[in-house]
Amino acid sequence: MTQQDHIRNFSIIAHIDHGKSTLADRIIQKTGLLTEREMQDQVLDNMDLERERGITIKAQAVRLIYKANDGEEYIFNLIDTPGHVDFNYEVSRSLAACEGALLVVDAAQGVEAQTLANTYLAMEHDLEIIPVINKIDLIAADPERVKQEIEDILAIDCSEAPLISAKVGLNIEDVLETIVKQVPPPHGDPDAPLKALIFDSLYDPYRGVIVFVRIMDGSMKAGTRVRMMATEQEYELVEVGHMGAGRLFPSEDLSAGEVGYFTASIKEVQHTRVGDTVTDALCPTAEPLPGYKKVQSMVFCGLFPADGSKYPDLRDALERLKLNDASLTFEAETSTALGFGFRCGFLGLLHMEIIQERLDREFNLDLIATAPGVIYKIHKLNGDVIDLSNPADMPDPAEIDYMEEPIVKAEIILPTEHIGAIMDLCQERRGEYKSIEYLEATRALLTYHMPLNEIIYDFFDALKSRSRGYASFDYELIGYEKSDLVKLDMLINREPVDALSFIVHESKAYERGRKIAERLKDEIPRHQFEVPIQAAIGSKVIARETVKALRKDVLAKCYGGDISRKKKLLEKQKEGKKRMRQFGNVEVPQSAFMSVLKFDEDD
Amino acid sequence: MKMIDLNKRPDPETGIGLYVHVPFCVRKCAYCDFLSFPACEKEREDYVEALCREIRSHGGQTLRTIYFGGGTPSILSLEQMEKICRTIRHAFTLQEDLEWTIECNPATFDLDKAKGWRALGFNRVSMGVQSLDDRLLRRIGRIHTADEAREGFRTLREAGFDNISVDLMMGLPEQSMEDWLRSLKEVISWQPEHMSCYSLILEEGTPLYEEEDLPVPDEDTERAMYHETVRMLKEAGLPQYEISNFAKPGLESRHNTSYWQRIPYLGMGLGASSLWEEKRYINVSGMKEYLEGEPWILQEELTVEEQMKEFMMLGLRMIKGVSLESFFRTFGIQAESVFHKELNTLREAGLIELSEGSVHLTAKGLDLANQVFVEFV
Repeated sequence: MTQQDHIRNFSIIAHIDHGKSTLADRIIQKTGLLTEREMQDQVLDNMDLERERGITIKAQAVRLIYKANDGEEYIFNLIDTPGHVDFNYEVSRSLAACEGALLVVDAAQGVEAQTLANTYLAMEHDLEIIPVINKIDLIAADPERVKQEIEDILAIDCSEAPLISAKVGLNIEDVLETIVKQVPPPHGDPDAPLKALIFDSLYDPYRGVIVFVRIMDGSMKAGTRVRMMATEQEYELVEVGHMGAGRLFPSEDLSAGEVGYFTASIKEVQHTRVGDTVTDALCPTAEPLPGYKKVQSMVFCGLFPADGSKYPDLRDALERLKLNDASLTFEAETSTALGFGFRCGFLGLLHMEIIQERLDREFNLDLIATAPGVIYKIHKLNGDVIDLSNPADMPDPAEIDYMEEPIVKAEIILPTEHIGAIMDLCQERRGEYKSIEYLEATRALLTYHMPLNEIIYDFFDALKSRSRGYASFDYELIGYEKSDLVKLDMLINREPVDALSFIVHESKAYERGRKIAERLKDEIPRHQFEVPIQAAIGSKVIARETVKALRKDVLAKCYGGDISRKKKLLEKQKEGKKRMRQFGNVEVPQSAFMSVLKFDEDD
Repeated sequence: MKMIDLNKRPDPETGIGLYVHVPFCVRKCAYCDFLSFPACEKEREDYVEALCREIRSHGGQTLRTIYFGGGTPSILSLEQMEKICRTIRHAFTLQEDLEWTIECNPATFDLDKAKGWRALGFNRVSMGVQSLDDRLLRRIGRIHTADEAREGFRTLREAGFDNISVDLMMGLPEQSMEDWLRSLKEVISWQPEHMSCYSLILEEGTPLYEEEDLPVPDEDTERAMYHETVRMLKEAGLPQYEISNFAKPGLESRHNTSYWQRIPYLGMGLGASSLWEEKRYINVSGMKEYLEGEPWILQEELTVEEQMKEFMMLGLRMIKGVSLESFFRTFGIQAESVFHKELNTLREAGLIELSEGSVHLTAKGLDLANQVFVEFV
């Protein structure tokens, strides 16, 4: 057990690419827990995908020992946070486990949208925020300007902010000393009933769920019977300990102020939800920690195996992913166009992309995803209110009184020269202008209220493209608003294709319908007959394209030397046909389903 | 070097086909993906030597057709040609009414050479003209001019050939309907016995294939060219008998027809293919290996099911189609029962017709023949 005044629990927060993971690596390196040889770049990000994308998906924590200039040894618990808006709740729980936060800001880029969002989040949790100016080795670095910016925008004193380069390892000591001096030590009551915050968990096939906790009050050790207060699950602890980089170190106990893990042969990751409070089942604390929320999926899409026989594989894969990701939801879905698959719920777009990519990469599954959607609230004339996440479940419009859609507050930080273009974009996406704030002469913060369903389509890409990559963006859900929504169906050869239906604002229906019809026209191969492609609302067709009939498909030459080769060509052609989805008389390639999701600013 | 068992002979009355490949040309055309390349005199000599060796080692059969293809067989000297022909006559039995074709390229032969071929026993010539438009000939990398083609045809007639086929190509880059009809009409006026009119196929690896935004006629124009060709040649007394082939009745190419009828054939020379005892072989395609006498490569051994599919797929290329009776005679089972589903689907789609004891492509089926063939692979 360590004296609490020698413990420092902190997170690192930053806008994407401002150097959070690199700094974490440096801190781990400098504290001497790892030798240089053991040091792999970015040890905190241990999923391959994270490393490749340079982002941190799952929060992890590491315990470090630092011998400070005052001659004392301090325990640092560095709790990593996912750097993306989709994981806002996870970030908030990680922050709740800390007393301080290092705010890393790029010395060239300055404050960005996620800098703001994360800082506000840290402030909500009353964390001591330590600004760190990173990348001062860059030619474009202007630390004085950036310090001024942080003071102006965030009202954080930067006079003692360490100026560092995590990349080249410059001034890392300053950061460590500042942590010792400025991050307050925890001051839990070790004798009070156990109160611990779950901020993450990991599924291990041998030990069950490994639960990461911050002990607020009391202590736990192997044999303690604990209760998760929200899920009301009870377990007897098998092991407790601390986290090294990529390793677990069992210990006698975990006590107030400490960060560590426990195992208890837990098979259901849903039993240990992030944000839940762990207490002693025999001597429980009176009140759970504040801030627990059951995570709600915000974005939904259908996932179908390209090869229908892989359905059980997809189910197994989703179940495996869910073991480590309680925020992933899925239920079986049947589509006439795509067969058996799952309706999956995600925290946000990035989460959705990551899951799709992991299914592809780790499980080798070739998937067809349908257009992402959100949850709409349908108020029926008979007074019922339905949460609609799958357009296929949309009731008859005659039964609907009105519909509501989720609205987010979007904050965009961008160079002033792109304000016009981005305001146009927000306007096009039905955004409601709220404010504009000039952060400095050349940069501004735009705030809009926007329907979530306008963001999930291709907003990120459009934003990047129209600001030449300079705009940064963050959003949070603020509620539901009444809206004129319609279900748009796509008909191929006069048959509606369920997997292509989606819900859209009436004012956008024509444009979207036309665009999708055009794309389908390009994707659907020509048949022996003309194939009409229509976009329709109910029985009203609002856009139409035609795939012209195939005029020529013939091998002009086939003599003695050609036969084997031509047969192979025909076999290929036949294979291609097999991979298509048969739709009445029409064969639709899988790429058609994906093409409707593609973004193209020129359209 | 005997690689296949030639003791089990097919009906000697029927005879088989012999294909002889000459992989040389003056220069490769921009659309050509055949095994062909320019070569020096020494290479040609060595090749003829190896070819004769191969022919000797495979002899013994009765031949009903011989076809010298390429490349440009007409590039060989008369002496070389004579050597090959002598070897063939020595190694094989030639049927009395043997059809013996040589492919030639204008600008690679003169009257003496043509007379020489005649004397060696060739009785049919297939001349690759492709177009009578110098601009288009240059565009596709042909070595001859339109005038040389005209001259070539006259020379062949003068040498005594009374069975001449002319090849033309449609759908060429920058070719208009008018361009095409002009060439076609002029060739018709020459009164050849046979014509092959091919739609350009862009084969991977050829210069034309690599060219970006190739200005080929659109599909509608290309099909109009084809349909007009079928109509005009019929009127000119050369009815269509296969997707790309037209002939005076009775003068259809027996050799090529035998491919579509699955009559066995032996292929001699670099990269040549054979169908023998229901196995498809291909000769090595490397010159060094060929000169060293490397054996044929077995490509596929056809099961009865595959034979039946090929019978349909190849037979349907011909306008008269597949005779249901000959299918039954060959396999002892009815095509209608083996391919019940396929035939029904295709008939419903209007791609094939069943009439007078045969299955054949409809006019629509001729344009979309691959959609028919894929049902039989």
